[in-house]
Amino acid sequence: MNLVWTHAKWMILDLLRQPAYMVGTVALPALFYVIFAIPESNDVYSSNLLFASFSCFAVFGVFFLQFGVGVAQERTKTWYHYLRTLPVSKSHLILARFLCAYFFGIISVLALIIIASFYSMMSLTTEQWGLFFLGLFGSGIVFCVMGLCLGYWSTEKTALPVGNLIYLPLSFAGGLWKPPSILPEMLKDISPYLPTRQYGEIVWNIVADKAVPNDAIVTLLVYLLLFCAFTYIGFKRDYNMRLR
Amino acid sequence: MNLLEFNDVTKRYKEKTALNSVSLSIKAGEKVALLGCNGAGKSTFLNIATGLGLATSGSVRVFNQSPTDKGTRSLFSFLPQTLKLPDHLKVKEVIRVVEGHFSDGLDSKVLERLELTSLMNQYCHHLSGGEERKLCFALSLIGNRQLLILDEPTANVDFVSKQVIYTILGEYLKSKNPALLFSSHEMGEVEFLADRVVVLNKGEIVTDGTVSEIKRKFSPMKVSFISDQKNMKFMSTIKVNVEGDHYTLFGEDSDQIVRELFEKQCDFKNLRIEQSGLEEVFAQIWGTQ
Repeated sequence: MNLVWTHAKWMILDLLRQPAYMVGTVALPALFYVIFAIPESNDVYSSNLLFASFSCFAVFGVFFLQFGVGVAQERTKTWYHYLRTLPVSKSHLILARFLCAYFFGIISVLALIIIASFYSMMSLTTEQWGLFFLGLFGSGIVFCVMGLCLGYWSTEKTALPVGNLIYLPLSFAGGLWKPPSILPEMLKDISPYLPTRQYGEIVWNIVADKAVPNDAIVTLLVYLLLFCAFTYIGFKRDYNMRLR
Repeated sequence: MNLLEFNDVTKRYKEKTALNSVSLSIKAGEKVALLGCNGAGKSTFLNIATGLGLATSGSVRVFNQSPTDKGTRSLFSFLPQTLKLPDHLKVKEVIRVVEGHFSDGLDSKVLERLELTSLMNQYCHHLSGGEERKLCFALSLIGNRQLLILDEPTANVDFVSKQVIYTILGEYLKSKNPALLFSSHEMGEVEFLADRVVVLNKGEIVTDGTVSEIKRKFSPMKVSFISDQKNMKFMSTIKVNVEGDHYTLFGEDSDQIVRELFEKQCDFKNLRIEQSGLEEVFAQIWGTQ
């Protein structure tokens, strides 16, 4: 476990010192929340839902890009190659990346909590807070694996632009910026099939004090399996490229 | 026991064969230099030995296990030819990351001698190329490892720092007696550190022996002198270099060369007889390939 912490620590420090990363992962969701959500947070119900939406947006971005860009860099940067010659297993490094992703995920949600507590009527019970964090960070694992998939199928240079091309439209189409009911008609039909929509459904229902729909959990599990399969194929492809 | 064993290892890239049926073993305590021109296959060899690259065919064993095995990786250290440290980490943090994998830390005297102590709080992207290389070299000495694999350890390092690295490495080898496998283009480095030399050319081993064996085999003696005489021909030489009035004769028997000079009643001065340096030996090896 010490090794996992050793690696998580340097990954966190490395990213904390990069203003561009901090702006993209922490400031951007907070800024979008202030611009799009705070003016619409007129009562407790809407405040809770919008806070949940932008929390999903923030965690999705951190998890997806952290793994996507991180793994793409691992495949090309000499430092990561060097780490592979040290006595540390791949699983330790992946666990360290999970810790790092959760660290930044928590920071980005904390920023939203601070804004929400000052400028909205957001109010959750202790039990709801517990379920909120469980739902948000538990089902968010799907996006870590989605990021792994991106990392193995892109290059160091393309991972970030491609990642953003997926991250922003998926967030919008999944109803994380605007409620699904006011999405354009075409997107309304697609939206229920997107992982971001089902992610939102889980967290929205928690903050609305309703039961989490089974459909959402099942859909996310299907996506998890799908991303695992694509990650495995991408990993084998990368391995074979090293073999060639 | 062989610490490293390559059996009939071939590595092919799409159109290029980087290593062709290479077999080589290294025993505990051996100090082996891997030499060759650019593209000879040295880095490919070292990458495969450390598990960073995979062989197309053949078997590679390090400490009788796969080089990618986690247990194996605690027994050898690797200094790659290029290692770019994370820009936003400080020198001391990079050292701590590597130290975190071993029970033994880095000797603070090594850092002092490499003049890195004052740079401990610097970010890696503020280091010069030479400073970064010295830090990478220091990282390879962390942990009490039984095999050091160094790919051009003194590349980009100034002359004075090179001498410091040789001294530190020499002392380290003497006190801990690990095996050493390193690639280099610095013949002084090779003569100082290696007791065995393996020469690669176009992915194949062309020579394998001790420094003195190779010197004896490829260019044993060098006779140089100054003479005004032109167009002199010699029977007992392998090679003759003439630059103005400076003659350099290479041959197996320096006595015979000198005898021939007297027989030809050659008018010469400043006669010098010496063993060829490794640089000349390798120029000859690659010249004959």
